[in-house]
Amino acid sequence: MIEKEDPIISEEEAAQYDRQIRLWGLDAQKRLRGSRVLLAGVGGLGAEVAKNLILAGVKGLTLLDHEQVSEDSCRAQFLVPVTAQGQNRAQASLERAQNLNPMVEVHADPGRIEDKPDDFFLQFDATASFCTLKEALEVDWTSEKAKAGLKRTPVDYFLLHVLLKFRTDKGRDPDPQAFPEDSQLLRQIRDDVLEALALSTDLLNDDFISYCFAEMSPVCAVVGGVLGQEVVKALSQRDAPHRNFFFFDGRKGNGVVDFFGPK
Amino acid sequence: MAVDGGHRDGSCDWDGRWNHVRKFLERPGPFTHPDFEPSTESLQFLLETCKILVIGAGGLGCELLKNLALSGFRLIHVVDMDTIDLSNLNRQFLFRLKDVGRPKADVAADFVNSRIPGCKVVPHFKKIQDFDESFYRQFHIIVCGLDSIIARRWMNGMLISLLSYEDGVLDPSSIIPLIDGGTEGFKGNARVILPGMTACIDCTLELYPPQINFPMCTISSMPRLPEHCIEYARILQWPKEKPFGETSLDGDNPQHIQWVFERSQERAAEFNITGVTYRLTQGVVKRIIPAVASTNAVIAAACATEVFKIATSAYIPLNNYLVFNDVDGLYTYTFEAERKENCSACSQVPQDLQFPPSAKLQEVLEYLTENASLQMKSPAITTTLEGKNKTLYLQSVKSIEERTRPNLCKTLKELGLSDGQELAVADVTTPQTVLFKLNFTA
Repeated sequence: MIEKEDPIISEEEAAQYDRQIRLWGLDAQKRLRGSRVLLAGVGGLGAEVAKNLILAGVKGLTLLDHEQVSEDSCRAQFLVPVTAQGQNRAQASLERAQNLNPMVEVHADPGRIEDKPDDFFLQFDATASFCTLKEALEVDWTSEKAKAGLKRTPVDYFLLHVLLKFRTDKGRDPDPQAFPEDSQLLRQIRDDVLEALALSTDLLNDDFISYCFAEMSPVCAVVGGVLGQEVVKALSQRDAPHRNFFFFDGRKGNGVVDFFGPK
Repeated sequence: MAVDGGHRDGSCDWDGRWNHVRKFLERPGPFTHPDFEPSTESLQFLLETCKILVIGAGGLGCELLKNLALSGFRLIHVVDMDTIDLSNLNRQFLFRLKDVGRPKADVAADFVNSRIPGCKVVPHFKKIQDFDESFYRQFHIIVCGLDSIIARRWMNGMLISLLSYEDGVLDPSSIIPLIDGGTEGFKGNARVILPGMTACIDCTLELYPPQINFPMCTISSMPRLPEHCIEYARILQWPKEKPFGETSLDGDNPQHIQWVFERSQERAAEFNITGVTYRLTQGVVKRIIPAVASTNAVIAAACATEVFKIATSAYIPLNNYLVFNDVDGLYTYTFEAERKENCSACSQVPQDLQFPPSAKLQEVLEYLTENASLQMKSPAITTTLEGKNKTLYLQSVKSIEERTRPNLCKTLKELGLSDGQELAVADVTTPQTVLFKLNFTA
């Protein structure tokens, strides 16, 4: 839990954080300064979020990731050295993450989030993860209201469903090395998912498949920037975080905030 | 910084290094540009030929360099006239505590070159105005992370001056795309400008919010805000009391700020105003703009995406202006800014000045600075009279200012100007002089 004593901001911290203190105030910066954050997943997007939180000056950031550094890892993930292939991704990211701001306590944990006991999470004030809330996805699309809302719903929402099911079924993300089989499976899952939601398969046409296999650095940076700021908002208790999904489309430069879940 | 990565095959590109970029360039897709043909040539172009200029190595610049280098761009120049300050470290993440005081361009280039094998960032610890057309002409795309509107307009004007027209038709090969990003606190924008073709910086000058300058009457007699008290101390009390002799107020001098702070507190007490703090005083005196890493990350990434799309011609670029705001929730919107028909920078339409012959030169000067579409800062006006070049008024050189100041009170007729006369106006907002035609009204 956030430490109860009012953390003191040193002169050096006040000078370094000056430009953001002018934005969200000294109290908010103190709350950040007393917060410990858990970041589950340090891929391209996770690395960007880590950067933004470390620069913001939280008390501690734990990088949790059980994956190993693969060939794909280092392309849009700038914390991992190229020589670190085969190492645990969180541990490989630690040094460069720490260098961004020596005043933050950065830790690496190679474990799996599913294996952590409940009290592991008690030491943190906020968690940012790249696993989603099941509830947010259990929307009943057969209702009239939902059908009416369908036109305005970003297609990416359904893409998310498909990717999550893939991850659940295969225990991994789509792999470029297995492109033909994985594409086939993605197509099938798309059909199953949309059918189960009682929606037409036209909603998400085959083209989506090509987008499931890579991360692109600038796109990670946009979403990482937004997500980083969401965590800061939650910790500093200054503003309400978005409700509750943000989708970014790098083709058009559009961002959309939408809400999914029980109202 | 230890150099990253091994050289497995003699070059610095190990197997599969650019696979993530190849996915975008070497296969067809539903979102590509209609004219796009997948090939291996695009990637080679990025890696070996495409030259990008990044202007600014600060909040946006650091993020831009990261994004571009990770996306395969290797020939990058970066220009920045500033040195690193401690307050930069909350977002300009290529810099460390030990780098404070060093030139931003140099440190940024060193960092990226050490981290990304094969990337060659060339730094320039200079102002943009230190370079001429021959420098800018060498780049395929220019991307800006500037902190002033004047600098943007100057850059805009420079690229417009590079355009060549044959029989009135714009030669497309003379166009250098300009991607411009800007941020302030939680707000930001990114735009794509094709000089001579799409809306330029001056076409949409009125979009910029007016700079905050409190009216003098508020400052001197009716203050309500702590900022008014601080401006009172800065503008009125300091020149009058000269607390440190003839030295002008230096925002980086803690003693000066302390003096202004104390005077501001006294003034605030007089009017029952709360909120004057040392930090606020410093912010007002130095005109500090709040800044945070996340906004810069978002905007720089949007810009870098556009650089990638345009460099590869693989995707349709942003058309053409994106605004972003996460002050309260999140808002983003993209629209097509339109060209201004008579834009003083890019329209090639001769600019009109309508004045009666009895108008004083002072009025012309005021028009040039106050007109919303022109917003010049300190215009220098020259013309040709009797075959000779004559300076009517120039502010930036003291001796010439003194010599030409009497002209301000003279009428246009008295100055010997005639209907249809061409006036050449130079200003910091543009690298080229702007030609105006004087039209006498009744």
